[in-house]
Amino acid sequence: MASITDVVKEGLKYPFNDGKKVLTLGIIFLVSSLVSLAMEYFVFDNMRILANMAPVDTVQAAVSALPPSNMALIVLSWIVTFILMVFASGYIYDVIKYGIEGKSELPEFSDIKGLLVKGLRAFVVGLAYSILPMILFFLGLMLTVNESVGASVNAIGGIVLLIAIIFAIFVSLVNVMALCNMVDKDELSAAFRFKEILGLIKNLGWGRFIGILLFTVIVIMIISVFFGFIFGAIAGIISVIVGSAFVMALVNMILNSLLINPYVSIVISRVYGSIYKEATKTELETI
Amino acid sequence: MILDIYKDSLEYSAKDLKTLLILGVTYFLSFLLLPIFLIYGYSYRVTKISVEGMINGNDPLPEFDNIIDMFVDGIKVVLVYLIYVLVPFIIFFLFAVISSSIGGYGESALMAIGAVITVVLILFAYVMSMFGVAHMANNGDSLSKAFNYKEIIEIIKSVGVTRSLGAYIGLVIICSAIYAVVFFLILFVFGFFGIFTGTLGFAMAAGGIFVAGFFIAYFVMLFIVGPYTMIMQSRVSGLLYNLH
Repeated sequence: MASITDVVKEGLKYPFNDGKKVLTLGIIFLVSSLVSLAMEYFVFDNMRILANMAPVDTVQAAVSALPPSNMALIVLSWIVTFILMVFASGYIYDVIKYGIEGKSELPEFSDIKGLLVKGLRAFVVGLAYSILPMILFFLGLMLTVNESVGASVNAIGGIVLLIAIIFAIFVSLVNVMALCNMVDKDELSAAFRFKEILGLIKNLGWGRFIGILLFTVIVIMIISVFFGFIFGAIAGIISVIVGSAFVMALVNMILNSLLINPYVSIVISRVYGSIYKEATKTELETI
Repeated sequence: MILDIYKDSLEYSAKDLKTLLILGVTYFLSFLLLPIFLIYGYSYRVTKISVEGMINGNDPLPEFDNIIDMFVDGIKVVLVYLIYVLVPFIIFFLFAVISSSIGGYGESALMAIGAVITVVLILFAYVMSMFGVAHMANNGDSLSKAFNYKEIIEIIKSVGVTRSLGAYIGLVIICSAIYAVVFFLILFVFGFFGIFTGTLGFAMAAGGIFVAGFFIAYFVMLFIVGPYTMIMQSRVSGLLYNLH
């Protein structure tokens, strides 16, 4: 049985086995971020138009004031970003799979249709798991914030909110194992076999499960802070030389999305795969 | 015995200036958070080598390879220290809360007692955590071993409680002495330069040279003496652990 830190160490080293693939994933993230940034740039003008028009009575009046051509572009950018993110999720799906099988190589970028399908599956699972906690959270929020109801209802709302947060944490933990189960069995329905999934977590041990995830989070946070500083400094220096503040945000975003985001995503997915591998391994040992 | 440990550690830490310089640069970058864990990771390797080695055993200084392993080990060591120091911290906090709600003479008296108790507890936490890290190094880097206080207390007893306490108190004194000596050395050297240029007639320059040179040299020394004392502490903790 590998210890908690061994799993994390292996996950941290894994992306270095093939830097090119990490960079390729980074390019996907980069293009998506650039598209979003470009859209924000355009939307800014629209925001200014809307702000000057305020107060606005109807959504109709607001939307009709916007230049029509831009709207199509914005929707297009949403679609492009979504497709790119689904593609990236598909790759992450494969990383988890390689983690479960314990392969030391990184997955390929071939089979684009397969990647898109896998990415959609992952997206659907994540969405499904977030519905209940979100409903509970909004219910609690609305009960707490609402001023027209009595103070006792506000207190109940507070309790609901607390329960919602705890429930959300629990759901996201199960979500991790559910994703792995789906990847291993290669079926969308495997992500919703709760008895099986909870059994897997119990096999691994809730303590180890939470321990591995928590440790990974801590390590990722430290690394992100560190590289945030470094990239911020680099971006700052470049922007001073060039003389534009926009360049700083641009360079910072480029460095982050090209290098750190893919690395972190691959590390986390690899750890997920290793978690599943450990959870099923202990099952075999008890036979 | 303890004096042998001190002598060995003093020599061991001074073995390689390049190592101290590398650590010093890492120390310097420690405001970025990540290098701190690299430093503690390196000190953990020193402890490990000492636990597996012996006094005057000609052990080499650890390498700087496997940075990711060093980083993760550093996080483990920091976790051990943090959790052990949490206990005195919480007790101090409790004392502060209770005494501030009493008020008057009772408050100062209770806080005084609380402060003394906290200091004693910090000493115990220090010794326990050092032995804890050594215990972890001896048992395959397992984090849970570092908190197995029953086993650790057994080990401390077999080394000798007074011996262990004495060794660590002595260690603190030695490290403080090293810092003091270096400090006064720098003070003297740059004071001399200041007086020298002063007598040559450069009154303003004298003050400037003294202050500027002093600060530069002080920080440079800090980033060499710092790693030196850190390696020394880790080596002492490992060798002391071996006495059980």
